[in-house]
Amino acid sequence: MFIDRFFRCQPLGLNYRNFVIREQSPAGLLQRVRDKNSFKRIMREHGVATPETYELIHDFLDMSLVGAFPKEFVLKPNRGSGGKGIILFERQGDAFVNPAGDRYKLKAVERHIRRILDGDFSGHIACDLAIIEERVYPSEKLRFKDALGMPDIRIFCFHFEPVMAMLRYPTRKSKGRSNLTAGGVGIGLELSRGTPTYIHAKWAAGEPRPETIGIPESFAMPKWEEMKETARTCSRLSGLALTGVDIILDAAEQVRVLEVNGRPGLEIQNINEDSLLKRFNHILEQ
Amino acid sequence: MFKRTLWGIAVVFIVVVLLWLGLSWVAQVLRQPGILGSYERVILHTPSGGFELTATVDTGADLTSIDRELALSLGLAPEPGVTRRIITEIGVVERQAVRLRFQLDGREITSEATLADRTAFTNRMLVGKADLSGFVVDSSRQFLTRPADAGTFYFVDPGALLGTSRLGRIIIMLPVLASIVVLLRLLAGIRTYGVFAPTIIAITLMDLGVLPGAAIYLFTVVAGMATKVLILNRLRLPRIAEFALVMSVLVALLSAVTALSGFISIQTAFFPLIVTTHLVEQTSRSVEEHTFSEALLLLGSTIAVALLLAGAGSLLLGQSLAVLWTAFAGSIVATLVAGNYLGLRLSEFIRFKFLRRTHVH
Ligand SMILES: Nc1ncnc2c1ncn2[C@@H]1O[C@H](COP(=O)(O)OP(=O)(O)OP(=O)(O)O)[C@@H](O)[C@H]1O
Repeated sequence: MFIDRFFRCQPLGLNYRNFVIREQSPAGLLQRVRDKNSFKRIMREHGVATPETYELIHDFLDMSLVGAFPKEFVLKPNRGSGGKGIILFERQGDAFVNPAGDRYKLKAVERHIRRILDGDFSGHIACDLAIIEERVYPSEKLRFKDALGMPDIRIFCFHFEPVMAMLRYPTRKSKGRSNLTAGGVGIGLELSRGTPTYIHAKWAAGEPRPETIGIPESFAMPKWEEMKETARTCSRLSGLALTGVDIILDAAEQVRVLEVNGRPGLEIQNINEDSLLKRFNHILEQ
Repeated sequence: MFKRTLWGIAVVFIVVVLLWLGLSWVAQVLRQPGILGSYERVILHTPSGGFELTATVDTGADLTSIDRELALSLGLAPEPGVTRRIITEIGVVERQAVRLRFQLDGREITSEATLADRTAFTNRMLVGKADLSGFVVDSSRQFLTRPADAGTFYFVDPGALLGTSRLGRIIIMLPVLASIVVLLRLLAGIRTYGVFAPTIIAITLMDLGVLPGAAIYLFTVVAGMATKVLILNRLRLPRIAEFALVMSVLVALLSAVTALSGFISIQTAFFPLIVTTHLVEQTSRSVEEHTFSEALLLLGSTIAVALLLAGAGSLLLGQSLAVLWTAFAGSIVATLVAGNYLGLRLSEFIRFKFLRRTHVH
């Protein structure tokens, strides 16, 4: 039918994505993956490695712990998205330093935690938990030119099957996080072999362009099959029709999962220069 | 998909009809016959049959009167030589009289009405004291009766419930404007700070007039933002505390302006105040979540959409009730259809431009 053909050639738009989520992703399950800490526990129980949670901060009283934090850690809101409110920290004497070199005093860290607890980074909810998490360093093989933080691999799954993937690389602007909305750069990955496809990003003037990241011609993602298998496992665990699984490769080349997204972004299509809808149809036809 | 839309429309239709029936029933039960509002429907008996119209009920006038031209066109000729003396602001005048029979709240009334030029008044007929014996008038209300039947069940005319006052019309228009915001989002991809903000801004703009309204908003938004950026950001308070303070500062500033200039009264600024606080909150939230320029862009598009809505609203406000209710029904259908549109939004044609280039065969 004409209508069908028309839709088939199109990229996946927000209207259609939201429709699929409305129809096939139950609200309860969406809530479950949004609660990062609980879902991390579920993933661990099923043999998926994740960064360790050092501490879960529920209220202001717990803040006395801040002084006793480990030397390196990541501070993040439990229900954040798009990298909002996440800071990667390293302690240098009294100060807490992020990958871009900004120094935070203890008071400033406490204030940030308080804002996390107030839900300032967590959409429309009124309060949240703060997670103090193990800071993971990337594998040597993922350190190209400027390694400011933690690159991650986003695998977009439809009906528990990987359909599109990209490597997200942090920049100075994204302060060590690799979320595209925070200023990270995306590099499309060919699904069967894990080799770079297109390089493309929404960059502002003065930011490092993707070419300057210096990804080698011959690059192929290490442990690619394992990563895809992990993405399958995690999206099955989530039970959601659409998932974006965020995977990292740590310094010991262990594949770990940062989190699973129930409402994955669509920018991945621009980065791979391909339509998700087309890939969905491949899955449905099989 | 299409079928679901039709179902949706059917369900909404049934719900509206049931609500309407329920409302009519409640109105029926609560109705006290013999009580008239300041406007009532009457049926005039004319040589060519019944003619229904709205009449003003006025206990301040002695005699019933009717527009001369209307009476003549209905074939109600004045009795030759019969005149009535009535007292008006300009003194005692003689007016021709006509014999009228009409129905009001189920009663038959025979009256001698004066002929007057009533083209400048809202209603072309006025029912005076002489014909109101046995009735009680509650002038704060309108349309409490049906002309023909006192007892039988009737349908409440939703227009008569709401649409007679300006406020009523604005209320009918609210969902229409809101659905325009929804259409813009789902079909064109124009994002705003929610549906609430642009709709309410539009309504206040219509109420205060576009220029004065825009001036008040400019003032409150700039003042609110300045408070947030210049003062509150330094105090580093939790967000909920900040917004109570934004409101305090705005109220203080507006009272000062009222006291000094009388340009804005604190009452007219009520909605701008609420909406502005909401906007400042949303903007600063999205400054945290996105970038500053994106947040400003959203603020800009919210205001642009509000202006568009104010334009559409002013157009609608002047239309007849039938047009208003048609727009109301149309907006429900349009929202349902747009909610089922799964194609690309207009803005996504730009966002994913090269995709179509490479993949449309
Ligand atoms: N434990 C960690 N160690 C090192 N870097 C981390 C860690 N956790 C998060 N990051 C960095 O922050 C980025 C965002 O993390 P995460 O995916 O958990 O956030 P998010 O806000 O849920 O993002 P999104 O929902 O868009 O995927 C990661 O891409 C990574 O670069």
